[in-house]
Amino acid sequence: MPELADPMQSVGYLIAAGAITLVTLAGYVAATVRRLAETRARNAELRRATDPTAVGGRR
Amino acid sequence: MIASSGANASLNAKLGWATIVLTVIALCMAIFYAPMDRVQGIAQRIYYFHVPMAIMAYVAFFVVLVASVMYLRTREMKWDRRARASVEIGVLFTTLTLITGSIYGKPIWNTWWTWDARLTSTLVLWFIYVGYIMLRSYTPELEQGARFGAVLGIVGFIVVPINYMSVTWWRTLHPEAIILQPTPAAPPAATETLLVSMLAAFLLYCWLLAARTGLEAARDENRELEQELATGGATYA
Repeated sequence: MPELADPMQSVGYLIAAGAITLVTLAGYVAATVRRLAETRARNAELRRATDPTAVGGRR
Repeated sequence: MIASSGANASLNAKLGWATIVLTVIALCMAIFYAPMDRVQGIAQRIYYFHVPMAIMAYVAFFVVLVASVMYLRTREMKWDRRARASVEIGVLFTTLTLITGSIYGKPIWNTWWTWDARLTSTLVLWFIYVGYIMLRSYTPELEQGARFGAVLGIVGFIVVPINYMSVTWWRTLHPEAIILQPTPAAPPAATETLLVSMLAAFLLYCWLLAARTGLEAARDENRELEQELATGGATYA
């Protein structure tokens, strides 16, 4: 373990691993929430389009 | 129906907050509470990110296995949706396992990567489930895709026990489990930190699975509605 002689370098590896994990997970959570909101909005749009009783719906 | 009920939404919100709180606690424990390793130094703390990701990837792929078996038995699409949702989360966790493992390996083994049994079988596991995602996206017919996916979800799981046992079956650079065994060979503070980190990762997995399953249900319903619109659907007077 040659590089362990430099504790600052070890801190760098720890920060890199922690930051990559947290940023990736936070990004995935944010992307999931956004995709869910977009898909639900599209769903509401499609329901209106296929519902003959809705205003602007198919008759 | 894709809109979550009030009770479900409230439960998901509570799960989300519990995940955030426990993640902060786990982070603080990993940095300030877990003992310093005499040999590996501060880099050893990467362990508290790396191991929970690996274990939760196993959990995610086990859920894919169960959901795939249930889909083939019942042909109910809800099982396929769970499998689809869990595969993506499992791939995410496996990706993070590989990345954090590589960063952990550099100061400890003096290499970013080595073709040892644990690392290689983890990479194979990653390829199998990335293949699952590709298979699903290239199969336009939903039920055919669900059938193909279920078979791959069952067959692909064979690699999980091989991956887990690889450090015992082969002489590898990757160490064997030191904490997750009947008599942990680590101080209690290290065991406690790992358990809290794993619980945080498990809550995150549960929250993501609920959200992703809801997303898959919404997508399936949108696909049906789009088809109905395209074909003229039911005739309305």
